[in-house]
Amino acid sequence: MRGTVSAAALLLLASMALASENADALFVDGNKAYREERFAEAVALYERARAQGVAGGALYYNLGNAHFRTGDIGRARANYERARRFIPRDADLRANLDFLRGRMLDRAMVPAEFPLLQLLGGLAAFLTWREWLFLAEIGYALFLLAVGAHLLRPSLRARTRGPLQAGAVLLVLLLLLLGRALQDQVHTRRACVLPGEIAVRSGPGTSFTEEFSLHQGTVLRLEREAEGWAFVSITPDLKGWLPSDALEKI
Amino acid sequence: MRAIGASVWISLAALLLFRAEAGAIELDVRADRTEIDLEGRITLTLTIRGAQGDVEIDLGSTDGFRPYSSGTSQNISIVNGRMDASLTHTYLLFPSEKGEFTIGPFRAMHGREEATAPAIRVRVTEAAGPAPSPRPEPPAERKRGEQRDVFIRTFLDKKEAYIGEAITLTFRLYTRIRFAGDPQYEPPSTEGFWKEDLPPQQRSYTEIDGRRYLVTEVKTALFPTRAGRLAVGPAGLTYEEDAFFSSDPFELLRGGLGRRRPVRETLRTDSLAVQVKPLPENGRPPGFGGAVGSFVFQASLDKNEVRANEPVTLSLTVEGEGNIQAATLPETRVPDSFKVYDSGSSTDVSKEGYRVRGRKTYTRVLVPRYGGDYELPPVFFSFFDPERGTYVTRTAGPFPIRVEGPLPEEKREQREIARREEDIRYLKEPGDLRWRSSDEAPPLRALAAGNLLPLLLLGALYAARKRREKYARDPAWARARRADRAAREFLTDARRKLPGGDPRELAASLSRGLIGFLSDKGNIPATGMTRRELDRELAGRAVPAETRERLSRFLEACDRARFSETPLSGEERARLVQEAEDLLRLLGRRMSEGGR
Repeated sequence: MRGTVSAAALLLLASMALASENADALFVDGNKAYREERFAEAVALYERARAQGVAGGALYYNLGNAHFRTGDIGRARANYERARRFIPRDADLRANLDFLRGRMLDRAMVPAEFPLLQLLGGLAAFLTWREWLFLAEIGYALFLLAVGAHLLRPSLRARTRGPLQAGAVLLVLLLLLLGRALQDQVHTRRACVLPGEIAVRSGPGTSFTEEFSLHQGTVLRLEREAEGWAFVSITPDLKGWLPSDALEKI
Repeated sequence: MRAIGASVWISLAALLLFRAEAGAIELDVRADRTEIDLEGRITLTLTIRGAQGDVEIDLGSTDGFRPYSSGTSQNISIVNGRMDASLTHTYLLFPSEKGEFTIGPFRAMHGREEATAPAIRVRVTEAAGPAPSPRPEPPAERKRGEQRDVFIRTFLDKKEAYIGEAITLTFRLYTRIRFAGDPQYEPPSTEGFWKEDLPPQQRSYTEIDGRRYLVTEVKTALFPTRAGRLAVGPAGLTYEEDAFFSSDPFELLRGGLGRRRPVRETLRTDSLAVQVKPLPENGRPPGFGGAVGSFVFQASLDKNEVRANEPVTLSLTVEGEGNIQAATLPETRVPDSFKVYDSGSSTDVSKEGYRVRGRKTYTRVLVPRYGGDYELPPVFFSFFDPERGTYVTRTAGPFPIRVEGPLPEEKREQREIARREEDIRYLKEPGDLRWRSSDEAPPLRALAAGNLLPLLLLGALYAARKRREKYARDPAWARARRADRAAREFLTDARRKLPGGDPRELAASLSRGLIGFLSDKGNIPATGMTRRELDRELAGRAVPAETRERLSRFLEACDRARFSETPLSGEERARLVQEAEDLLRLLGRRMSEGGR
């Protein structure tokens, strides 16, 4: 019995290594195809690597580039936005996003927020949620150490009071930032418009009124989906329905 | 020839001699006239005495005029061992509008010393018409038959001249007598001219109509400053004849000394006219600065090869005959990388042979900042030659300069770097960054659980610590906490001894255990108490009478079993153990309730 479990584990590890090797090879092949200006092929290779369950800033960045070269601005934008979750401070990525935003027909509209929340959002976007989590864990560990020293070593109480209070404030701040990063990068569902222009309707069907139009590459918030239609919002005042297949989920 | 050794001292009011006092400078300002028309100009002469070297001049207000520096000259003279130094700055003021104006007040600064001179009021009128027709010119020499002992004459060497051309005015005094004192000379008015005295006075003898005269001649150079018909006013001379030295040696014999009285007499010449022509517009060079005469122009560099940041001196010299004071030296163009410092100018005027000649030198210090081969472009100096009636341009240069040193920074027009066309940035390679990651959402529950564990551990540690502290602080509480466990232990032990153990030992053990339980649990010193004392103590702890009675019976039973001859049967022993267990439970509950 024990021998059977070991063999299964080895098989699993081997298959994972093989998949990983395949993903690496697909990524390298995708880059090669891109260099040789076979952009559609590059897109396919990157997508196959993605289908193997791997993700990352470089993969999404290159995929965005390949889509851009094929003229698919919407998917290019979607992949750049995905890459932003992994490499938010990468200069190339920011440059390409700015470049794309400059070509968008729809002006970026940001929902109004309280200034403090805006500041929090700006700070949270500077790191990935993983990085914020790492910092928060470190802050938490230090805070626990300070609490432990304070409670279990009465002789140190006078000296640990200040660090304990500062640590508590820092930990709260880090947790707030982590929460905001998780909300923005993980829990908020966003999507990118794929067609050159598409009407946003008042309901999930072609018989509903066309309220406004959106253009390729515009990023919106995906509220919910029903029967092949997606309810999206740009701002609290600009909401409507779009066919789901007109969107690339980020 | 009776005026033996007679000397004539002519006082020239316009040229008073000043003596510089040590340690102070003096400023004297003269304008050649105070009323001009729009076509005229004022020559302003500022003489600073007691100063050598750099003197800073402030002309004050020059409203209504365009001032031009006409040059600087320095004069140092040593008379009877005393040194007089003076510096003369000459300015030409050209009116720009008519009206009354104030020029000045003037200020000269030499180091820490300062001298001032009051302002001058000047009136500018409309352009004047032709000059008044002068009276017929007198003959240069005395008319035949004239028998006067003293007479004066003035005459000009030209009756027609260009603006700026030198005209020599000659004043002659003819005398056959000796003067009592110095005769007073009144120079002619020379409005419209810039004047330069031509020393020295010249003396000679001449014979007119058989009479011998001592002739004293004074010459003055006049430079017309405007076109038109100008007049040189009459010159005057006032003298007194010395009675003692009469012209007739026999006068003394005839009338004695008292007969002749001194005679004071004033003589005056006629006005002279000059027709002044304007300088021709035709052919006037662009850089013409007003020099009229005949000049030589030279320019030179003191060296042609230098190191960077070493000075090179460029000297420009104009020399010749004419109105050298009015000549302005040309500007020189130098490369932008050169620093340029004006190191001053000097003017030397010579009046040798009664002709105004001069030399004007202007030096500039050039400091090349970078290495390389440079060339200063040619320098041009233009003047008007009245003899030929044309403009003449003299050229000097170009001047090559080789400079050793660091080359200048490359000059290029700096432009902002701008993309011609934008594109997306290139691919990421696998090595660029960690390209593989997980796109999964974070396992928040697991994270929360994982983070809760250390918090719980900390809580447990804290609780344990608090318990230890309580044990140490409250021994009675500690004993009470231990009583239950001890009771359980001795009951277990008693049960173990039930089957074949010693009944007396069992009874003693049960009795001891129960008393120990009461001591620990209720903090009662039960071991040393009588049954009655124990009963009272338990009653004080609200233990019911029934339980106290059971306890009393149990302890008596244990005592009986310990000291009876007949050992307890197995059944009796089991009942005794059961009773001990029940009592422990009852008393433990009661003690806990009583403790609260």
